[in-house]
Amino acid sequence: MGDADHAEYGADPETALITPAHCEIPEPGAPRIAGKQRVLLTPGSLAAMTYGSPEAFEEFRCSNELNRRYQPLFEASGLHITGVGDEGEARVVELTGHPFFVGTLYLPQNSALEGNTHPLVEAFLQAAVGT
Amino acid sequence: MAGPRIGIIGDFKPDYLYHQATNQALDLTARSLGTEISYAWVPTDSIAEGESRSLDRFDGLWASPGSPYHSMLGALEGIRFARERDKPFIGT
Repeated sequence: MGDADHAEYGADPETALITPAHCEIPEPGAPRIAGKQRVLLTPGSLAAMTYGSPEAFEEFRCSNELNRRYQPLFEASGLHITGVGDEGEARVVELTGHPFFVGTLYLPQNSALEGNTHPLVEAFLQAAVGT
Repeated sequence: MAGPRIGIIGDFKPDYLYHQATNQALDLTARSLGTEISYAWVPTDSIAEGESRSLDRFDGLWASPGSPYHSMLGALEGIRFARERDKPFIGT
């Protein structure tokens, strides 16, 4: 996709790859996706194996997401959507054929603010130790 | 054993909670795994096209929150480097 762009950088939100989340805006200036939400993980994916569970509950604070019109392109590529919200919206992506390549719409590092480690951060560091 | 070296792709702001959380998560997780760790923030505008080789010194790369980046191109080059060079990568 040579013309991929991000609505936050001025692209048309209808056609941009990254686009404002399709949900109610809670209040002016607040993120569109906020608070604890369920993420359904694809069985057998790196994410599901890392969590050791088919679902996770994660804290979101984000206003943009992958434009849903392009999700089928990802399904056909090596960058798989392996975590989705309750309406199938992309929340986790991972690259197959790579030792460890994961992207999340949420912030696993926020667990540290409460003094807790997070399985994805642990798995990332373990992969880095192994290189 | 010096532990893994992590490069954080992003434009660090000391008062931004989620940047602080990224550093804290690395410190906390390394302690929990019983390993040393070193990490450095790599500003997106320093990763100019073709100069992403500076990232080769890291064992893993983390694309930080805090969009918009100073340089979207630099951020994408950093992520491309992780992808093409099989560097462990997390983007959050």
